[in-house]
Parts: sequence; C-alpha cells; structure tokens
Amino acid sequence: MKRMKLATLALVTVVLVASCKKDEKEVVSTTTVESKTILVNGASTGNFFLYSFENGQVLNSDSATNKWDFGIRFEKIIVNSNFSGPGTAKVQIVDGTFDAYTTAPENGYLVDSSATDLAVVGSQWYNYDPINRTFAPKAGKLFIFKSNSGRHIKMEMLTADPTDDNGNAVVPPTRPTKIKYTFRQAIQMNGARNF
Amino acid sequence: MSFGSGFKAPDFRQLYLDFINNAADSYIIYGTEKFSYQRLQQELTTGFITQILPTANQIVKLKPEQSNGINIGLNKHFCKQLKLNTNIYYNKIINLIQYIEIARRSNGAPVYSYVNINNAFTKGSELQLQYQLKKHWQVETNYQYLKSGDIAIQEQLKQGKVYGRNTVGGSAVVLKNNNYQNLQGRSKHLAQIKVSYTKNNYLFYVRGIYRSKWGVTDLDGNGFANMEAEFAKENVIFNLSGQKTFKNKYQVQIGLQNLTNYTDPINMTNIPGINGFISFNYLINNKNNSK
Repeated sequence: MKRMKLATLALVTVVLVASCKKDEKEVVSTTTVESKTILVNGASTGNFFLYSFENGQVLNSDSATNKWDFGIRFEKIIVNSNFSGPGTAKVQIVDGTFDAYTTAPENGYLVDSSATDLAVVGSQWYNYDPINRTFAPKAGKLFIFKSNSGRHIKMEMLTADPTDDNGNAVVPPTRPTKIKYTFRQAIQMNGARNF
Repeated sequence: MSFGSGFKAPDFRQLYLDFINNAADSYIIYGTEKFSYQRLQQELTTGFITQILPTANQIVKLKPEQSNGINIGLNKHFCKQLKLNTNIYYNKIINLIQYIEIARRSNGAPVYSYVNINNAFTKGSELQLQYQLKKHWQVETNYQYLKSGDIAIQEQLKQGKVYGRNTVGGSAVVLKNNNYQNLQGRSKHLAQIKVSYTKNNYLFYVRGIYRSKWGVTDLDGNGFANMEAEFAKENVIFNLSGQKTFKNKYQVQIGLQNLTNYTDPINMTNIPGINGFISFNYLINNKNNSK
C-alpha cells in the first residue's frame, strides 16, 4: 500500500514537472526560425534584391524607405542605414553555429560607410571564384543583424548557386544571370538579444 | 628500433612538372615554379579548365621538407610456414610537401599543385603475414593503418574553433578532432591479400586491394575533407593473373585487372575499369628466378 502511494506520488510529480517545463517553453518562445530561398540579380550592376526579415522581398520602388533590412546583388550585401539607405539596420559577422549561438552581441554592429567601405566584407563569409561566379559560404560564419524595427536576427548562409532566370542551376561556360541563395534566419520578436 | 631524420628538397616534379594526362583525358599537375594564377585564368577563358578553386591562391615557392621519426619493427618466424612482420612508426615533419587540388577541368578531373604544411605528423603501423599452405599454395596479407595530420588544424580543432558542414548546403557545426581524418589523399586503412599457387613453371594468383576513403577536396572552407562529398569512396580492386615460364627464359603472362569493374573516373583515373592483358617477357639473366 505504501509502495503504491509512493508510486502515485512519483507519477504526479513527473506529470507536474513535465507540464511545468512545457509551459515555460511556450512563454519564452518568441523566436521564429525559418529557412529561405531567394533568387537575386547575378550581375555586378543593376538592382539589389531588397529583403525584410519580417516581410520577405521588398519592391525596388521602396528602396528609399526603411521597409528593407538588407540588400543583396551578386555577392554584395548592403545594409539599410547610413550610406546605403534611410533605415537604421546594422550588421556584424561572428563565428559560431546557428543553433549554439544564443545571445546577440550588445555592441559592434556596423553600417555601410561608402560604396567601397561596406559593413559586410565578402572575404569574411565566402570563398569565391570571380570568373565562374561560384560561391561557397564558409562554414561557421553567422550574420547578426539589428533590423529597422530594432529586433535582433541571426542568419546563416547555406548555399549560393549560379542559376538562370528561372532558378535552374547552370555550369560554365553558361553564364549565370541569377544567384540562388538559401539561408536560415531566427528573429527575436520581443526585442531581446537572446534567441 | 630506429631513429631517423631526413631532409628532402622539392623534387623536379614538384617544381617544374607541367603534366597533363591526355591519354586518360584526366588530371593535370603543375609544379609550383610552372604555376601562375594568370595562366589558370587564361585556361579558364579557353575552356581548358572550368573552375579555379580558392586553394589556387595558396601556391607559393616550395620550401624543403624536414622530418624526424622513430620506427619500431618486429619480425617473427612462428614456424617454417608462418612469417610475421610488424612495424610501427611516428614521424614529425616540418614543411611537409603536400599536393592539393587547385582547379577542375570540364570533365570534372582535378588540377593539382603543391604546398608546404608547416607542421605535420604521420604515424601508423604495418602488418604483414605470410603463410605457406601446403606445398604449392601461399597466402600473403598486408595491412597498413595510417593517421596523419596538420598540427595547426588539430590545435584549432581542440579549441573548438573549426567549423564545417556535414552535407553540402547543410548547417555549419563545430568540428571535433574525430572529424579530421587524415591529410588529403591518404587513407586510414589499406589492406591487401594475395593468394598464389605455384607449380612447376606455372604461377597463378589473385590479389584483392582494399583502400578506405580518402580526402580529395574542400567544399566548406576549412581546408580539409570532413563531409562525405569531400572524400573519394572506399573500394576493393581484384586482380587475377596466370604465368608460365618456358625454358627458364621466356615468360607468358595473362591477367584480368579490376574484376568487379569498379570505377571512379574523377578520383581514380589510373583504374579504367575491368581490363585484360597479355605480356611476353624474355629473361636476360634469370639465375635468381630459376628454381
């Protein structure tokens, strides 16, 4: 009888602890994690693909607004603030893996200062062959953004493949017209720095 | 037991070779003195090669290689029929000369050149067993275990500072020491078994050669092979041969190579698939060969 009581008590405790844990998780979970694939201009001139972490692609007619966070064209990344736009977005590149990186830095975010002095330096995050236009994003490089809405975002570039206008992979000697990027992003919706 | 130290200047091949394996329409080797980035770019515009890899920027003047090592060997005859040779070794090498892939051709075949690795090691063991089964049969097995590495990369791995991917386009992960296999081009396991039959003037044998996977390229920017796509696959090759000697002077040999028709046209250009051969030899001085 005593044994049975103990067993019941143990069972109740387990249920309580388990349900508590579950509740806690639901409260803290304000981070949204998504995988994205975008098809961007594959030439070194012309329009940037403008991107908002919360709303996805932004039309180029809105380039003079703070609707977009970063722009990407070929291998070049610009951030919407200072030299490149009217917004307040900033970025820095850190070492780490997407899942294990849980707290965004407080300081150290960069802006574009001029056309030749951009916040994101290409050699930091990819190995690139300029003639074939093939990329290999380096493993272990994370982009930490502070968006126009003041939210912290971590982003990991996964692939950057040369393609035609329809997103079909091309190999030399066919010249690519687009670059297909895939990446993962996590947004902390409540404005805190943890993911 | 022996200790040794060595000094190896870059050889002609590593400095001046300008080798294109046209017969197999396959790999190319450029000695470091023959290499230039401009030349690769020119070859790219003519379509001779299709991709320059980031490693092409690492090619500089080669320094001589210096090594220090220890070697312990044991040979034992258990009985008249059974012989065992074992060997274990450790070598520390400064400026190890290592070939690397620097570009790719249109058919996917590699273009190689050479670099120095500041601090490297090789260690391993070798085991050889010979067994005379009855009068005419002999079995010979060889096994080699090899562990080698770039000491600088291994230090960074220990500190958790090296990243990589497990699949092409997969998420990056922190790599551990056990993700580092070997220097490029080297297998951890090599094994060979040969069964032969000798009678009068006849010799027949079948030989199986196993090679475990080996690193061939780097796709995630960390400088070594860690994901499957960066390795050549493990494989076994079987060869079969028969030979007859006439009048202690003439030899006729026929054989079949690569019985299972294993091919890997990108990484094993020297293995063309199943093929047969016949050869005739005339022995000029066969005192050592005659029984």
